Amino acid sequence: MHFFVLGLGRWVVICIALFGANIACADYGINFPQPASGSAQDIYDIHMLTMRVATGLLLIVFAFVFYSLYFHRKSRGYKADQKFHDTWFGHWSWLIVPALVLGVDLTIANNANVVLQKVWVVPDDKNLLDVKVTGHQWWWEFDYLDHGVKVESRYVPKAESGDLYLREVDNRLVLPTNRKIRFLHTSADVLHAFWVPELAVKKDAIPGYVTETWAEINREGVFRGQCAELCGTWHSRMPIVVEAVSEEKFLAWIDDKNAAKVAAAAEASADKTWSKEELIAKGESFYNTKCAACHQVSGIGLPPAFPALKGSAVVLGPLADHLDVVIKGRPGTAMMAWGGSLNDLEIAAIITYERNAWGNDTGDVVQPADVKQQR
Amino acid sequence: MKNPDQQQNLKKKNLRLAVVLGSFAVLVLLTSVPFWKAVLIEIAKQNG
Amino acid sequence: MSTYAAEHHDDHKPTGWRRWVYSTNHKDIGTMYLLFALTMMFFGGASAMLIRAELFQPGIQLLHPDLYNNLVTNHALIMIFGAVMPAAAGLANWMIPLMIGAPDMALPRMNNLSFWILPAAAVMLGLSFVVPFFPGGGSQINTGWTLYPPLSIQVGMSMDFLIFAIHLLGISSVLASINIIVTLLNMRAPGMTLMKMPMFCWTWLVTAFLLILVVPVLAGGVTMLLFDRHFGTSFFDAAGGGDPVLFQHLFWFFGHPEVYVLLLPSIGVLAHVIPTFSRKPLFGYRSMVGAMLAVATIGMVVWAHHQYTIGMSLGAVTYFMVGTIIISIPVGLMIFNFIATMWRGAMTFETPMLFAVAIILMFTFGGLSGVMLAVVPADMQYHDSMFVVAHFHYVLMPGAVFGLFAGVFYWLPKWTGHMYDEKLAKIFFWTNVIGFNITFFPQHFLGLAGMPRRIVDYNVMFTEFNMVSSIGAMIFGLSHLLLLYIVIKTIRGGKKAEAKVWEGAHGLEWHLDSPPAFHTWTTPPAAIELTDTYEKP
Repeated sequence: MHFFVLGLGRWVVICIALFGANIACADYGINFPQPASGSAQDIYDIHMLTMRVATGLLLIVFAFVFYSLYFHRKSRGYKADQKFHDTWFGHWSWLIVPALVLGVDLTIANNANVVLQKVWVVPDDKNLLDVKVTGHQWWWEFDYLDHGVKVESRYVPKAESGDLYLREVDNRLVLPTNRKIRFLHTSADVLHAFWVPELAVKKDAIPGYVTETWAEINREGVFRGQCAELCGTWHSRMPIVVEAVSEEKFLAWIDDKNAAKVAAAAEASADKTWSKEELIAKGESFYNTKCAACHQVSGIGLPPAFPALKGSAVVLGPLADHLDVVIKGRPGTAMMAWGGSLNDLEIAAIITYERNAWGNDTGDVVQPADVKQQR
Repeated sequence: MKNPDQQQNLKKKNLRLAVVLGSFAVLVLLTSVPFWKAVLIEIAKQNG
Repeated sequence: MSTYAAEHHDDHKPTGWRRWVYSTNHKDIGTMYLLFALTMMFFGGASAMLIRAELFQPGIQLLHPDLYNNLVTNHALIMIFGAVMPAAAGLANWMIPLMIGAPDMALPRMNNLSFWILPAAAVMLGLSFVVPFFPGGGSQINTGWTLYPPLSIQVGMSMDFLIFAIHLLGISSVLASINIIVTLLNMRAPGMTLMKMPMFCWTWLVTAFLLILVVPVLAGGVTMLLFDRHFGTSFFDAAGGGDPVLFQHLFWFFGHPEVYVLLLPSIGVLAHVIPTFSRKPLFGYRSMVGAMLAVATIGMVVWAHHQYTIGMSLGAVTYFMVGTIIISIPVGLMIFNFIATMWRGAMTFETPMLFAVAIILMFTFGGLSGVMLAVVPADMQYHDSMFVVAHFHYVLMPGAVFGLFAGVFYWLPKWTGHMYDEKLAKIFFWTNVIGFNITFFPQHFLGLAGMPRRIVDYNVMFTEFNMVSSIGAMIFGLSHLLLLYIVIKTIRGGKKAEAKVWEGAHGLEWHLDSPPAFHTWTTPPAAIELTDTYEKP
């Protein structure tokens, strides 16, 4: 007894200390966040409806059980009614109860069906914005198909994101408000799921499939979500951050992105010969964002699915094979073909870095021109 | 009626039960703190 | 009372290890099933404690993400295949022959086999967990118990151990199911028609059919996975013309009926516990049987509600939504019948009854959150969030595990011949139930606020409820040590139990001694004993 009380006292201290310490965190809730699209609002409403119906039913069941628990107990001298099942109610309850439940079910199913039709089918709209969402281990790729812009979105380490850790990314998914957006979901490796609660679209990203969802965002703001399908080691590190802005700001942002892309391409295709130091410096930063999620910053990988690059036969072997793996990928494994999304300079820098880092002292220098030739 | 010894025993038993049930109540109360906090936040959001 | 116990060599039994390893006796095999389940429950529980300890605070404190996911996988598999199903099979082995007046199970040697496969399977399962820690052991199983490809193709050799463990577990439960069906159909005492059979037997009859129908589908699915991994087939590889979603359909075609496999035996226990302690016959025997058959039938054809987010057509999701919501009708009828059995009864609240009442309240809650999940548009939010975790623990803990606890406390005096310590058992009940609610109730809020399931690390906004949940989990987990103590104490001694342990109990098993002789019902029960039932069709 004494120990029990003592133990409880300790819990009390822990509880108070911990709940007190976390008051600073403002964002936490017990229900869906405020919807930011029409379909999310509909979903919110159907959620509240079913929850209210469920709560009502629960209260009815609880009321009957507790009434019975209190009044029909032996200690109160209650005598069991051995003929209860033999009343008209006992004879017909098997029909009455299902009929009542069916009524409730139909109420829920009817309302749900109305919402489902609205949410499920992507509306036909001339002004539809297509965004292809590709899940990777462990980052998101957003491809604005109508604008030729690609965004790679990765989590931000705790040191830089602070309280937003695991809810913050380096490059946000910027979307216009008041315009219908169609998301096309697919995956490059394993299953992922795109989930932003404010937009209420959750859909699995399945390799070999393209699934679709849609949203029309009705207010500006930053909406945060996470990958919702277990996708391996760093499943917890796949946040999604949507930044909803007005149409003008969105178009301006697209122009910026395109300009930056043109500039990078110009830099890459300029017939400049880069020094080893320049390439390694660039390569390290590219590697750490693009490759380190699987192959790790230290190059040791996560074998066997993600092999080590430190001391790897490919990295230490002939350059042509190394280039081939990076540009074309390894079919049937998680290694994607990077040729489409990285320019010559980026690939050259990454390969130079890989062939000289972590004790891989090949001394090789790869120039953008070499990459171009290999493609 | 019961003799004093029995009554003493009963009293002790009841007290022990009260402590057990009371500590359960305290536990449930404490662990529901975040819930009530969130309810208050939610209400504040609705009003403002 | 004990007219059948004292006959000639009824109590002759082998001694030493032979008694257990060579056993063909349903009581001994039942005991072994139950002890096996109890052991596995502590393994599964320990992995759950580690998971909750890791989630106590944001950040990665104890477990590497792969180890975390490995524990998540193992917790589910051990609890489902190692704890709940063997425990239910243990109850079946012990009680079905006693209840229907049969001398033993119909196929005693197969009974021995179906039990002894289990320890082998458990070793396999254990190996799948530990193999990655040895040099060259490959990566850990980080897929969750659903084993979805392509992730499960990436995993190292421990996945192969797991696949074979699942095969063994599947063989064991199919054999046990065949045995139970044959026993129930062929070995009933003369005069006991199907519609006079005790409800626990009915639930197990349906469960056994479900198992035989769905376990081979899982076995087929994991075999295809094995072939994809090693023999270059591409059943589930889109690049080779396969389909990753096919595995999900195969898995849940098994997985959803599996939920009813876990639930129904416990529903059967309730159908005995509630009438006993309400001192009143079971309300609506026929409608219970009908409801159960309806649950089993509809339950077979609604599997895809676990996969609403894979991008099915509008027609398909509408069908699966309506089908799933419809299940609430027979389940609601079952709950209603239980409440109607309590209604106008003369109730007392011994531990089995306490668990039964807790089940009615909490299982109803879990069932209702299930209706919410069935609604496709709303599931777009709930899917794969902590809300789902909370929901299925509210269904499976009260629905399956508390039912087994109720059954164990209800029949423990019959098995051991000793009364358990009622006071300790009540303390166990309260710590268990309160710990359970503190653990899982806050997870609903986490899920709604946007926390996905199966993540090792989370944002600070989810801290509060995770902390509460972890505190509850420790209380909940530790309370089971008390259960272990009570069980051991009861086996070792205690107040002598009478043949009819509970005042309001009816049924053939209460006409035997406590503990019953090694061989019972060697001559079928007399007509007068057959009429002693709770079931009034």
